[in-house]
Amino acid sequence: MRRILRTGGLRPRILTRPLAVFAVLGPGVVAASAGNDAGGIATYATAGSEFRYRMLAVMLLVTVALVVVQEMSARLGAHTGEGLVSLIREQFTLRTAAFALVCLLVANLGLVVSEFAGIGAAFELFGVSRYLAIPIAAVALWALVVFGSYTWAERGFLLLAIAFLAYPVAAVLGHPDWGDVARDTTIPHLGTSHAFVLLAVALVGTTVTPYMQMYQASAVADRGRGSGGYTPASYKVVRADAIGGAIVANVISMCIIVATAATIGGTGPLRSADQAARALEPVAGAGATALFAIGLLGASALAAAVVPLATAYGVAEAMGAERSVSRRFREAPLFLGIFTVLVGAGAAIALLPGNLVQLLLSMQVLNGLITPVILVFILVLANRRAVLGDAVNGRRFNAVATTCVALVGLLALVVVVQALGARLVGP
Amino acid sequence: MVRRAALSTPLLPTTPLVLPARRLSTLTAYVGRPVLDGRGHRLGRVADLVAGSLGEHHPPVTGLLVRARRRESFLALPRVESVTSCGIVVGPGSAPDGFDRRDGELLLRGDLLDRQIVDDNGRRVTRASDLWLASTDDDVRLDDLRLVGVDVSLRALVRRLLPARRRAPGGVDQAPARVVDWAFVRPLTDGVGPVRLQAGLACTGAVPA
Repeated sequence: MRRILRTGGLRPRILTRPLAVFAVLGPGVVAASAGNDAGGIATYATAGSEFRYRMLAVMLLVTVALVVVQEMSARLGAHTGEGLVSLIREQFTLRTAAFALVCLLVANLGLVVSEFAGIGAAFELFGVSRYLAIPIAAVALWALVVFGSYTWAERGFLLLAIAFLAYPVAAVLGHPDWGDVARDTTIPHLGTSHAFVLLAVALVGTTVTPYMQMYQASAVADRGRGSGGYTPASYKVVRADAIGGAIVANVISMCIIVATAATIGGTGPLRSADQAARALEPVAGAGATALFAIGLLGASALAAAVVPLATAYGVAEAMGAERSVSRRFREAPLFLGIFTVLVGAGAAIALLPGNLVQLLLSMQVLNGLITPVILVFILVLANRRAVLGDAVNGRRFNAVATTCVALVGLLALVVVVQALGARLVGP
Repeated sequence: MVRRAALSTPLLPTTPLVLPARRLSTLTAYVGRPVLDGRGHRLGRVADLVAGSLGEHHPPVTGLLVRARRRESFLALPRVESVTSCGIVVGPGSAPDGFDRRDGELLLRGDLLDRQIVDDNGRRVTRASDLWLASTDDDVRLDDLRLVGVDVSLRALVRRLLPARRRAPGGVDQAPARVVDWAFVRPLTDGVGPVRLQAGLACTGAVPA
């Protein structure tokens, strides 16, 4: 008998299954935690090893940005019952909407690349060549999703990813200089070196990932549609979840920076996953590499399947196609096509020769450059009375949100100008 | 036994749009066009088209919304003298009026274009990629312009994404491919959220003209 996959089952599976696993967690926590994937770990670990605690102040700004952006996304989803891509298609001209969609596709392809790079790095820690591991992982993930036995694998990946909860413990056991931590978190170091700005953009890109805003709005909209809409009281819960999730996830991210800075801080840019694993030595001792590899594999494999699925879902939103109707997955060519292309292209790019950690960072920079574009769309939508009615941004909230978006945009602009300048001046 | 293939295909009553002695045009061919007075002075650009009497099978377009200096004003359709490749020419003394939306009026671009289309069962099927309008078969005038169908084809999307060609919106080089006759469409609104379009045989029992 042929198995029938329901896209109706697919959507909750992509967007709300982690909720079932974590039971008490809402979409906000899940969305924000998605930032701690392969790219996130590589970026935070590089921040710790290269600049010790000096990136913590940037993380503080990024946390504020993430809180306001996730809240706006949740509000848009709750009040309109539509995802971000839907709203962009309806509220902007077709060409503008197409531009936004292309940005999202590129950013998400970058994420898929970094997830496969993460899988490759994890296997290399176990001594398996990535040229063997990545193609096998890509085919296995593709088959799991298309042939529908993905559910159990997803739970397994989540269990593996729990290994990363060792970081907060490692941050304490690593005996960092808490005075330095407090000082560097509160007093910004305005480093203007290319490496500092580039890493700051990567931090933005991996923390305020466009994929997370898509996820947040769609998941909140789905839940609302399922329960007949939100009341002011029930929206408060959604809001608390979005804000709480952003803060909790960033506290974990900051722990990764602190743990890495305490062990290998000041040794320059991170060169290998092996080096990053040393941050877990205070917890796991000799088993640090294995613990790190297990966590990296789980987080990367999970995201390598979920990000392309959610991207295909976003395209379905743009085209107005049903996302919650019984339909054979194999009979949805657009959905399956986008999923397949993303997995195939992502794995292929991750196989290009070169340093995996460097590739991971580059993909986060790419996300960091695209993030401000998507943030501008969110900001405009959250200010439109035609969309949100009286729930549009308040004056003070809007001032904070606009400042955050402007700063994120400025950082991206500095990177672009520096890159162009370097090209003009020549090596 | 229900055929599964039938379940997976969109259940929209798309038809070839055959309207004898009518000139077909698309909404997006009008939007953005310059509006000129008889002496060729620019009054603004077409921002939207207004349709009334939605109960009719093919509701009449009552006028254009013209945007000039961030203000929108209404221009009744009979004031349009001709449609040329340079723009939409209005008769002398046709200064646009202020626009107050009346009950039962719809803005074709603002309310309908790119909106979600659901089928009889409320399932999301696609979006309105463009709207088809028909006028009396006259090369220049826009008499009896009516909303006749919703384009759900990919071709319409591609046409809108490509650079606009300079031609009068009256002519159509290719017959529309996947169009839902407006007789099968019903706008759904709760007065707060965006309008959705329900398309299907249950919307009306009538067979389109």
